[in-house]
Amino acid sequence: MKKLRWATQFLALVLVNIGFLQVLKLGLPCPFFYCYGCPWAAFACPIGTFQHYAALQQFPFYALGVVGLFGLALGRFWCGWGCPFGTVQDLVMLVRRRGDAFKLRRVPWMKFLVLAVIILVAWVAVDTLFCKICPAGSLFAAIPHRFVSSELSFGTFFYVHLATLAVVLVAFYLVGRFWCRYLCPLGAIFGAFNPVSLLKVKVDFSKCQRCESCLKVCPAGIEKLEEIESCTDCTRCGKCIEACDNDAVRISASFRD
Amino acid sequence: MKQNRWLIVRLTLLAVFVAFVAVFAADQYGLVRSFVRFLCTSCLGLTE
Repeated sequence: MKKLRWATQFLALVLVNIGFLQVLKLGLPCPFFYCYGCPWAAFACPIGTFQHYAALQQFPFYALGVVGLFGLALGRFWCGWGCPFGTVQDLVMLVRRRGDAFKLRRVPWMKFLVLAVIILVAWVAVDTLFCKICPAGSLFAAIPHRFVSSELSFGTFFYVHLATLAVVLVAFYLVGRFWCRYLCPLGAIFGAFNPVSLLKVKVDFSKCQRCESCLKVCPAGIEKLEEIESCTDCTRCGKCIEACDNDAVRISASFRD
Repeated sequence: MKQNRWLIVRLTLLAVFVAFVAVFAADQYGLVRSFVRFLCTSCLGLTE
């Protein structure tokens, strides 16, 4: 499963970067936290799109519909199996080769607060202010553009971008999936769909021995077995499934249950 | 009963989101596409 996840993450990175021709740049929000300012971006960043609509004082019916369909189908599965920014966090943890440097408590409401502040600020300031400090924008757009577009030069916010990226990279090194767990505004949206998404991670309590080996490897820091199915932090990465010796944890897809 | 409740919730959400896309895609697709096609250099801290 680990290899399959790396494969889908790589595939997602390729897919969001097929916009090397203008005709391939589509007006479709992608289900990832990925900057549409990237030189080869093919899809729109949902958070950037929502900010634009907030700044325009309009409601993003179409973009919300698309993101809602993504969320309803797979919940935060997108975060664990495709998001390029999540992949960066996994790569940083590969460098670390150990678990979290220190254990932080879960704060499930934090990312919802971040989302609300981002949209409110865009609405009040009539500008996409979060884009100016977004670490994904730093990594996937600002830095590549500096090398691809030689006619562009550094402005103040370029250094702000570098600073925010440096801060979050250190956080990634210390705490696995730090962005996904505490700050990701798109993770908040997809997390809200986790309880109702068609695809879920389920625990069969008739097989479960309550050894909690699944919780010990959880990069989202889930602390109770009962929370696995509907927790807004679960990225459906499947590490709990690999860790379970009793096959009590599985991925399930159902419209009814 | 609980299963039926989730089914209703999912079908309602599905209908709402499909309606959003079906009704508003023609109007709003172009604007969203313009976000992808035109680079906001000030957002990235780059100047020409």
